[in-house]
Amino acid sequence: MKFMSGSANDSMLEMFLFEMSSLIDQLDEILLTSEKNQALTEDDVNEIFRIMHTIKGSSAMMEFDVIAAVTHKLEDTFFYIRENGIEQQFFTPLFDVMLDATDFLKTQLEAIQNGDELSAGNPELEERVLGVLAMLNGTASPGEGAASPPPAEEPGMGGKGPAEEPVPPAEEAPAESADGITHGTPYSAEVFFDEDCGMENLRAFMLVNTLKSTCNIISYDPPDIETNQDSASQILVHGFHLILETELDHDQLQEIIDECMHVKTATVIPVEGGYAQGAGGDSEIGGDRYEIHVRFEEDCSMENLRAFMLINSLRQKCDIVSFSPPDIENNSETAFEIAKNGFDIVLQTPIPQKELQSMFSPAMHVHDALIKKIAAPDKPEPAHEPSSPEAAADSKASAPAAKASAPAPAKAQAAAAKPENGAAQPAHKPAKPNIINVSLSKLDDLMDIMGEIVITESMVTHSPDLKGVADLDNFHKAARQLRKLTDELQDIVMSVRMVPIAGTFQKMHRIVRDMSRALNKEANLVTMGEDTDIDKTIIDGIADPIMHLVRNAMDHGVEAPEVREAAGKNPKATITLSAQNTGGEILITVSDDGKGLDAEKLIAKAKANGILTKPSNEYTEKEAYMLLCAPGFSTKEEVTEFSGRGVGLDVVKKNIEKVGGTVVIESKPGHGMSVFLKIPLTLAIVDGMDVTVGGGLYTIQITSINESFKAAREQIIVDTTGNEMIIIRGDVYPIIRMHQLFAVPNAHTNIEDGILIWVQAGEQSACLFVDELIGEQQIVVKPLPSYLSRYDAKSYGIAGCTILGDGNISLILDVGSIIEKTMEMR
Amino acid sequence: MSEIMTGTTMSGEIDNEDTMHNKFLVFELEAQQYAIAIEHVTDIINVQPVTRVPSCPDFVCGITNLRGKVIPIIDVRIRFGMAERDYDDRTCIIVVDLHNVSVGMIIDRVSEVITLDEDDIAAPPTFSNVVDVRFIKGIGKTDHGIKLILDCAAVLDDFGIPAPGME
Repeated sequence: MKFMSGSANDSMLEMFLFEMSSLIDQLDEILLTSEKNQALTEDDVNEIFRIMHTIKGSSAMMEFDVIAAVTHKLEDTFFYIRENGIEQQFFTPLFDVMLDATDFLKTQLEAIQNGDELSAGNPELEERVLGVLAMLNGTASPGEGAASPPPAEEPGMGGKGPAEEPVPPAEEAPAESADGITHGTPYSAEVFFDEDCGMENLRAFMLVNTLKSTCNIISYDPPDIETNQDSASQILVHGFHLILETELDHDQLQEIIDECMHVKTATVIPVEGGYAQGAGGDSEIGGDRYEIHVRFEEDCSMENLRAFMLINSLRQKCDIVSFSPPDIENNSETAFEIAKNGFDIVLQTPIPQKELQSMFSPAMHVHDALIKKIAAPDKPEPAHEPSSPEAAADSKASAPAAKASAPAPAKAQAAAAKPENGAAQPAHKPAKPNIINVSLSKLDDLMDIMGEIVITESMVTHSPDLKGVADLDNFHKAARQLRKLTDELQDIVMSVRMVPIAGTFQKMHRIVRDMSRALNKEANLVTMGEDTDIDKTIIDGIADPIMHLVRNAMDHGVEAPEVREAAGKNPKATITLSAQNTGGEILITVSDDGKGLDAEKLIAKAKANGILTKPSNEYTEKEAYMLLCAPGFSTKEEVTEFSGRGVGLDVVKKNIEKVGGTVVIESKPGHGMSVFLKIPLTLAIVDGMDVTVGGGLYTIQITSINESFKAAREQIIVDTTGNEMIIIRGDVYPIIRMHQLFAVPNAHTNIEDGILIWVQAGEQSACLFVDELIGEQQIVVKPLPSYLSRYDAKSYGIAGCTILGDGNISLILDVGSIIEKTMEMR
Repeated sequence: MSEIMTGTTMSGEIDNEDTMHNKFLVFELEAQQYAIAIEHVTDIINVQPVTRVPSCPDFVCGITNLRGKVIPIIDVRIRFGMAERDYDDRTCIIVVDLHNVSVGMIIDRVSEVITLDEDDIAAPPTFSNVVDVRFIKGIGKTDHGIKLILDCAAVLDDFGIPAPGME
């Protein structure tokens, strides 16, 4: 729309991108499941149709015409499938083109996100979609799909050109079907806007402006939209009514209106005999008025769509006045309502009641239809002036507009349509999921404030002013309560940031599918523990590594089916993705049952690449596997499309470490390999032990501390190169003097003056020698300032820093890096 | 002094650009006066405890807590290769913001804010025995002598100096 261009509002764009990506993910999921099962259920088809329709609408609104064009074609295709079903033989071409289309949409979205130039169009893809549609049609030429009006649900109006019958809103036929109306046809249109869009009068005004370029607008109601604010509420309740003349055909007009901003439903119908006669008088169908209460068979499901088809078939011979619930077409929740309370129709028809009854045939899953003759309103109002609720309902009965009263959300009207038997009370609407979308930055802010509160709390409770105060009972009581509350608050804030890993796992199905095809390998992806919740920031950080690992497994791990069969394995490989919460950490496993790793080959390769750090015979199996993660190591000679670009697993390791995790590789030659990613639950607030070294403050995560103790000189063993060690319960552990490592002056150097902290990081263990323990407290982990990142403090054993209660800064020690660094130097 | 300064510069972000244009904060190191474009300055604070960070070069003193924000602190004297000197009550930390990176710079004393027109600024020297010319992007001439205009980016930049080893 014109008014959107230029200043395409940022938040709107953000919303658009968010909505699109979740829809496309959903689409991917449906497609992959369907493809796997080689079945396309009715639900799936409807869902895909709905997704395509939404994407088309939103992208047209945002003026991404290319996306709109492609999705339009797909929507047509699925409309056809919805009406006519699809034969199994067409699944493969359909899924292929659909998946390619989602890829195309993804690249487009990415381009939008990055502000890149959008592709000018994808005629090739559109061509393919049309090709599939033609294939589905068989020999049918466009237009034939619309052949017979449906007495039953099955033939329906085909995907092409149902121009000659009143078309329900929200379905457009391709432009080539312009065989219906020619120039200057008068139409009447009834438009409802989204309930919460606000300023309905202005929206209506914009709609009028939009239409002006292509239509001759004869009148609209309410007429004073420009000047009268109150018309907004009037439009909200009764809708906005337009009478206009245009050379466009019905579908084009419908489309133009549908694609206007915030238009919820729009009903466009040609005005027979001209608009002048349209006002007043019964429509040509005339006849008696009936009120019908329909109940569908209990197990038919999708009652809303059945009702919709019923209405469509009735339109042939009857003048539908109204029905309830009104929004059957686009609100799937109405299905429950109909199942529960039945479906009410008010219509006018000249055919006798008996014949009418026969129209509700059991073929359409109608269980019973209660038909009741009612008195027709005697005073019809002009169609374009429904100004009060009653008038609106009445005018529907008589004016031509009545014919197309399809979605009529006005409450008054719905009530008017209800039968006296009271079966249709306002149904219990199934509870909508109470979920809101919150931008991550707000959650980050919340987390920051949470951190500040934790700091402040300890600032208050450890205030030096408290020293020497005798009676603090009440203070301590209150402080305990405060502590309890902040703990609870923290738990909640944390849980808010948690999202299930399912979304990340879901994406992997696609990768496995694509790679199986490209590499001619057969593989099955099994996912477990998808509902494991992980901090959003961490999820974002591990999505790429997991993808990398899955690709690696497909490319390097899984063998070709023949090879697998020869080895006595199932030709179809299994890749397992699992996530589990092990208390303080999340353990994510990516494993395959492929050929596994050969430690000797790895070492030889590493040697050839010159990345061995010690004599090759000193490598344990585990260390050899970890060579995979060394920079510059890639076991595959040739570069493939998917992996093996020489970056290898070192990127995975780096990314996992970035979120505070560790990588462990296990393998059994011939039986596959597993990569374990250990990820902390959250990054932000941890329990820490504060220690001092030479006056400087350091914090060690409680989870990595085994024990702390004073050592006597005679317990210390010194090896020939001067390295100190200590025996704890029969095992020898190296001693790392922190003052030496960090070159801190004025620290204790006598081992008996300070204290030893026995720490553990994964498999590695050591004792850190520090001056003294200060105490335990919760700390808020902050990264070091980005200015310092060039000095790579992380690899020197600094994971970050934290602000203590007294305002001082303590450095958080990364035990793993410290041990690694020390071992490297020894 | 620093009180007043803090007042004017803290609100710098909302100030009209024009009011900050051509304004420079003058500070002293040894006997020499330096000027720094005021739009870079976000704060002037007294010296406060700094936590040393291993792996950083000498001139990076460490990090400090500026009202809940952790910022790195560099000692300009060491950066310029001058002799270290004990902090006194005039020693200040000028907090500069360069491309959204906040860094505190320890200097001997802050003296004043001056206005320098384009005409008052001369090209940097090609040689100086006072300071490394890489850090200077111009010379401001005033009635009270010359001020060396600091190139903040250069002062903060590393020039590819590798981080010193841990030994």
